[in-house]
Amino acid sequence: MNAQAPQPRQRDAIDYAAFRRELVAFVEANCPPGLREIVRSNQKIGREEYAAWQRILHQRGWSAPNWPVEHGGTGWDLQQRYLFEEVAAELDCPPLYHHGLGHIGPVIMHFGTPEQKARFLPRIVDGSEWWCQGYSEPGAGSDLASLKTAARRDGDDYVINGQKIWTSHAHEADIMYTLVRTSNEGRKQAGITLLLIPLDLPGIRIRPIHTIDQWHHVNEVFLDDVRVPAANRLGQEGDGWKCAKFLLDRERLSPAMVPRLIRQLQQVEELIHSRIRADGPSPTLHRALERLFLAQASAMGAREMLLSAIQEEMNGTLRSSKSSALKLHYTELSQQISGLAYDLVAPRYASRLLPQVPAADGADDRDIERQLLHTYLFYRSRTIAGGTSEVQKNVIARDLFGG
Amino acid sequence: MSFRTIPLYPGDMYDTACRLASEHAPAAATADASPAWRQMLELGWQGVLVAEAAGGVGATLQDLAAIVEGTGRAGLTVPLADRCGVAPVALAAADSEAAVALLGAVAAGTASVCPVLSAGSDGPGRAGAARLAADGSLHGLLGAADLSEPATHLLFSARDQGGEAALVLLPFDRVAAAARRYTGADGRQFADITLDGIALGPESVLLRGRPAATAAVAACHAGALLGCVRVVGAIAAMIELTIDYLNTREQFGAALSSFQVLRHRVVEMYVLYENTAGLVRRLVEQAHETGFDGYPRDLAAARLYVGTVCRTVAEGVIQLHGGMGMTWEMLAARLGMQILGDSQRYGDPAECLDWLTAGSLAAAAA
Ligand SMILES: Cc1cc2nc3c(=O)[nH]c(=O)nc-3n(C[C@H](O)[C@H](O)[C@H](O)COP(=O)(O)OP(=O)(O)OC[C@H]3O[C@@H](n4cnc5c(N)ncnc54)[C@H](O)[C@@H]3O)c2cc1C
Repeated sequence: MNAQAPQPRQRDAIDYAAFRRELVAFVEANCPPGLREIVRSNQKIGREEYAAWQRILHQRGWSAPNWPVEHGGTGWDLQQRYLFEEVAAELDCPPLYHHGLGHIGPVIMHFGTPEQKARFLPRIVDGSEWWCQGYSEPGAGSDLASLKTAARRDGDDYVINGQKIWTSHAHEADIMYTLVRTSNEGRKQAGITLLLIPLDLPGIRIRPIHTIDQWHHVNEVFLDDVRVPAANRLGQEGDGWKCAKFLLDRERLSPAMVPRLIRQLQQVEELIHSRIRADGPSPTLHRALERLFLAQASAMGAREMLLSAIQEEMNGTLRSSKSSALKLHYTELSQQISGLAYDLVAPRYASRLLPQVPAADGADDRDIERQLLHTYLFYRSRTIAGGTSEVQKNVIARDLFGG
Repeated sequence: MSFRTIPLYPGDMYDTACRLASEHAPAAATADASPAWRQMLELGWQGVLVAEAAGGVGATLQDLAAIVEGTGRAGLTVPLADRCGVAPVALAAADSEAAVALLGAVAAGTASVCPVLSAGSDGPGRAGAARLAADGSLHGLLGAADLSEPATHLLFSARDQGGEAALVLLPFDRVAAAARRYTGADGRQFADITLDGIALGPESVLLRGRPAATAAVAACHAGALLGCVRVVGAIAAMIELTIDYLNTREQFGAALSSFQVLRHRVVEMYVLYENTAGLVRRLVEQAHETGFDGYPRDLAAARLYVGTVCRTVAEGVIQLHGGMGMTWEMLAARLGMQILGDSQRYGDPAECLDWLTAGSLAAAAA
């Protein structure tokens, strides 16, 4: 053992059961019931809800469970991080906002200058600054490297022109970490640079995209002669692709995903039980139970797959085929679960998705069955966003077949 | 040129329907009739199935199917099957003077009858919720009336205290205030209507007992069948649109249609489409020959099957369009929402499975 290296708390020295109890007690005492109700009933959550919980966690020093202590994180080990996510999911706390804590934060830690770390990281940890991801463009989706949004160097600034699309949360974000083209020479990937673009700059216009789930999640972002200081460039010019890959590899390994799936499965099971109590065990409900059992087993497998992938990632042995396999499996399983919920709620809610005059007491919003229909529709994007299933399969196949 | 499907019933009716529907972008919902619907009323489409003697066109079920299929391609939210199929079938069964007069107005487009019918235990469907009390007053809830276009009347199933069926007709303005309105996942406008002690005159009850039940079942049969026809039209358009999209959009320097996995997925949807079209054509012919007599087991099985096809095709089309598949602007995605909506009406997959299973278990025990 290396006595010099700063040691995290020893694995066998941690009483995980006590740690879990501490988490539960904290959530029960501090996560506002109204917030938990919003999450429980599967409502669409936005900055307000994410940030409210993050502020509370921040006061306790827990707002960045996966970050090292030096940057304001908890320094927890894998088991503790997983327990945190498990308790948060079981007790219906809002998830941690991934774009800051999960995505750009680690990239800034890895590629950022000391000034950038000091400027950006604390506000990610305390939740005062909100991020979104400006990667995709109308012509560059699966083939991200063909992106065209151009950044031209002009003195100490870059001048940016182009358009981003599918930008989740842009309407409520402060900064967009953005892939731009700084060169058309050589390989397409080599001319890409990562810029941190404040969204209140002149020349930026954000327009909502109307999606089939009827939730406002994604946007178009138009950039028209937008001036961004060169100090907002992360890494060197041309390093953008490297940063993006670094980020994507982590995006696929969020410890939060499996506990949220398991919570959804519990909710679907409760729904089936309530139907059985109301209508008796009809053939449809028998069939739903079979699908539930299969999904439960599959989620158990996903849990082990995730934990081993995180372990491998920490040891530096993780193959990209495994993180892609996890993304593929997790997103398809989440569609199976939301599809099962759909079959139970659609007969009633397909014709009642949006009440034209919502109940004044919020009863329509709290109606979990209605929200499960929104969720089913929204989850069609699970196998599209963050790299489509087809693209994941290409990645996995390349690794399996050696080319 | 890209691939084009062959309609179930090619001809003038189909062509007119396609042309008319494609001329109208889906309109934002208002209390007034949409321009597309007004034109359909003027063309007398509500009277296609109405006998000539009653002022209608007296055309065949295939003619109406051609209209429903053609308009089904365009993503409009007009309640064609309900107003031109279901309501006329039920009214024709009533055969009273008032019903015949109303049929004439329906055919002329001056009245429009919104049906909220239940097949009761004679077909897949949840039991009708309206109750007729001894004093002639109505209670309960009429669920999910399709009011995407204005209606002058509501036609619905009710049961009296003895469990006897009744077919009830009410002017819409008598219940308008009791309607809670919703937009469905497919953009159609629905309402739940609370019947809170509304007093009925004898003229409002068109039929009682077995004839009322039979009329409701026949009308639900028409609704289920025409819903399947609309799905066939919509899926045909979705496949054509998807092929066009994959041929046009490029990623990695190649048209998406050059990726075999995407081609195969479209092929799988196409095979489902051909199979569904064959099945639905057969059922339309059958109904044409025998009338809407009862709710056939084959139709319930077809709806169960079509429900799964709708899921597969809607989900496939979204996935194949990538992010664009999630957008409301994309016709293929909107059609996906509509076929999901269609598969929930007049026998959703769960009702069909339960009804079919109950029938099978009874047959096995006999
Ligand atoms: C809800 C949602 C949120 C999103 N959030 C963000 C965000 O915050 N920031 C951001 O930058 N982007 C975001 N995206 C965009 C997302 O990353 C892209 O949609 C995705 O990469 C797919 O690109 P595309 O939509 O252009 O589809 P396309 O790339 O056009 O794909 C269309 C179809 O072709 C298939 N295909 C493409 N290439 C191949 C191939 N080589 N082999 C086989 N099949 C192929 C795809 O799998 C898909 O089925 C979001 C998307 C959605 C739907």
